[in-house]
Amino acid sequence: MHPSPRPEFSAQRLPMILTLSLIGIVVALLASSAQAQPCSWPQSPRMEALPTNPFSFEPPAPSDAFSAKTSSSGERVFFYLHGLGGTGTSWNLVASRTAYGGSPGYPARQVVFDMPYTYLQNGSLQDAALEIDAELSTRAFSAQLLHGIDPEDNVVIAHSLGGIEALILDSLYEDTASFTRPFGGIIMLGSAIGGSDAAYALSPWGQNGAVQFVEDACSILSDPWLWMPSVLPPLRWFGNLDPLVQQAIQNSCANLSTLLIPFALGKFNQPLVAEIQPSATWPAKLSQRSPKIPVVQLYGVEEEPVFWRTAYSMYQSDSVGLAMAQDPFSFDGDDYLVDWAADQIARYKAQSLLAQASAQAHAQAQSQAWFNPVASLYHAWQRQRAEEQFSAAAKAQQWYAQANNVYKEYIGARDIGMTQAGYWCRCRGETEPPFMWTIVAQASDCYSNDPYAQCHVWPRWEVQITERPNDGVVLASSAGSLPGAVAHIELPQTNHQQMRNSQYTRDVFKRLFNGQIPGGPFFSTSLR
Amino acid sequence: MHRQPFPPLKVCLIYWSGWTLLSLSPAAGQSSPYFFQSDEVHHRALRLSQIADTSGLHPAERESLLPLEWRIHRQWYDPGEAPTVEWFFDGTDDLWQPPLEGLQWGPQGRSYFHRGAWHPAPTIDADLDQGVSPPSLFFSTLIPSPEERAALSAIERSPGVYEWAEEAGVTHRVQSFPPAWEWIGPDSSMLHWDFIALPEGWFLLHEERRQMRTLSNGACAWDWTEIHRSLPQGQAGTLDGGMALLLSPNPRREESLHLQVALDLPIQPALMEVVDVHGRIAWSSTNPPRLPGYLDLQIPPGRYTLRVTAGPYQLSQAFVQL
Repeated sequence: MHPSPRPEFSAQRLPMILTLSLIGIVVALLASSAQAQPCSWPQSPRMEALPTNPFSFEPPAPSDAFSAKTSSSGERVFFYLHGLGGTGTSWNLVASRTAYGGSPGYPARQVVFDMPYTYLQNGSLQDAALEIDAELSTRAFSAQLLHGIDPEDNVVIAHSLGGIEALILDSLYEDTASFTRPFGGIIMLGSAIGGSDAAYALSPWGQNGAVQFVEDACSILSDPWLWMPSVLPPLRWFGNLDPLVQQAIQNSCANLSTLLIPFALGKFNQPLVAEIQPSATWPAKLSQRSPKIPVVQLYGVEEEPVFWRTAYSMYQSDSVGLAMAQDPFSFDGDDYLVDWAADQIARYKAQSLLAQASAQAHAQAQSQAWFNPVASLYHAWQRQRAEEQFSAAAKAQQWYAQANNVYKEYIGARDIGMTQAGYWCRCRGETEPPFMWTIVAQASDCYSNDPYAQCHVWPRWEVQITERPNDGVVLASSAGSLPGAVAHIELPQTNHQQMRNSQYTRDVFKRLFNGQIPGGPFFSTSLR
Repeated sequence: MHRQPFPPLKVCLIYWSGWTLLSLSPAAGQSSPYFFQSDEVHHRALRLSQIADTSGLHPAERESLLPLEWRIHRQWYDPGEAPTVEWFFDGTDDLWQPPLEGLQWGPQGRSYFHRGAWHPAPTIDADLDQGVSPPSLFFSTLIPSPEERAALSAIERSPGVYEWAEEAGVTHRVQSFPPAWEWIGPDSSMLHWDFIALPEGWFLLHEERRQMRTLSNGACAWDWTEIHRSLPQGQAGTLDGGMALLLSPNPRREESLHLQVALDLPIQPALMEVVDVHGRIAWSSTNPPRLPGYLDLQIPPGRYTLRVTAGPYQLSQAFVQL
């Protein structure tokens, strides 16, 4: 009989060891967090939400500094820049139809087709700007050689981060000894010139909010009291999840979560997001500087709930592929997840209230069977289970109901401020309602000689909520307040992902290229 | 000869306990038919244990600090066969959310009303409701009798306060004054019920529950919910006559129809229909006005029947439209 060979350590076992170590760490962390800490009651403050304060955004007055600047007639080049995490396909259909063929309600212009390209985002904003400059300079030079186009006639059309890069280039081109300007105007869409909380707050380079958001959802929605495969939505675009976020999901709720969470902002996984925070250097500089060329700002103002609309638009591009192939400005519908989330809220609210009723029914049944140990134990057990179901369903309902507001906090579109304003005094009354609540200035004012009154006092806090219009990622105030821009144009009902391809964008582009935007004759482009 | 094997002991126990439970069904507790209604106010919030700095909280935790409130008009029916409970929600949630409008738990099962239609309620575990009917309005017993306390191994903590251990480390405490029940979990979670004595029995007037959480900044907090109920309005015993539908004016011209049930009880119907003499539905609403109340109708002249569905009852009254 041969002894079994002694297992040898090999590189193949390393992933297994790492995985087991990770599981061990996670289990240890969970165990430590599950340790009940002593928690006092009833010192807790009682919050009261004041009416939400909607922040109304008014863009600055348009500049007429470039009202006399026009382009040469004939062909010109539109350079298209995508946003954070985008690719050449972000713009290629619009670019193609603008140059030749047009689309319904959108005639083609005398524009040389230049396929949008992608640029590296693994360094700083300026690193990316230099790469873009190199590419645009080469292309502008080629267009000048091949078609006799003056580089000053060229226009940059940029989405999101692309617009920030275009403005950085405009500032770099003031150094005429080092650079030659390859374009003479910019149309930017949803570019957070004043900075963006979203990218930093959500990305692993910042507060890692996307992972936190997803982990919260996983821990709540994977509760066995809730999970029914038949009610999961057909979220087939989950294959597009960023690997990092996907890994986070898998660590926290295993195989459930790849189907569950209609959200991921893996595209924000780039180090330069730290540079577009509102407090960073470039936003501070760009938002105070008037550009040296005509710039038109387009900013989106999405309807509520911006989270569900933006999440849907982020990942549904595969399903609208056919429509987009016919018309690149047909990316408008975003109600699917809104309806789905509303259904989940109603469903879980129903489940929680009915579970509460079940618990009460079992308590009642138990009270009629106290003399019977078997029946009494059975109803006590079922009451406890109904309570567990209530708790799980109430948490799920709350997650769906507040996901939009939580997301808006991450992107800076919602602020919650709290201030203490006196105390709530609760005493038991003689008649209904059983407890009387009164506001008192001092805690000591809540006092009664009657022991039956059982008075308790809680600090009373007022909660002031401020909300700001946004496109689901960038605030309107950040994307629509560039000083010196020839126009700041709102795209209504349009989120950050839709704004390259919405019907409102088509209408604005048409007016711009027709020369109908006051102060912006430079963008007038002849029909083909 | 093949012999049927004797069932294993576990199966025998299940059969025995099932039979015992059936014989103790609490549904039999409600003998006289009744209709009652009460208005509920639900509050829910995450409550900080101490007045702490909230700046280090995650957005989800900060949002949970905001109190939520919803109001429910709740109705209990028991026509003598099987009780029914209905919930109708007042007010709305966020503007973008089509609200949950109603719930029902009766002999037909459990369902909820959303987007203009009734849907079967989510059923994760069908066994959960075995052995119980929808919760009755009144509790017949508040404190176990001395014999029952002995069976429960209850301890008298102070005069009129008894407690005993239940499932999963939960302690059940009952007290006679103020009349209350309380369940305390091993994780310091708590569910507290306050009762009020009414001629028909003990009415659950107030519920409060809380469960401890540790927040991301290390602070202690409680998931807290509270329900206040108004005193029930309704009738027991003489219900069938009281549930007749009254309608005026009849005949009607352009005026609003005034509707009420004979006992003048506030009642929220789930469905209201106007049917012509050919049996065709001339008008219907799944969100009808609460009674007593007024109904505006635009229908051509003729003879009609107004049908009102409320819980297990279908009330009808003929009228003439001039």
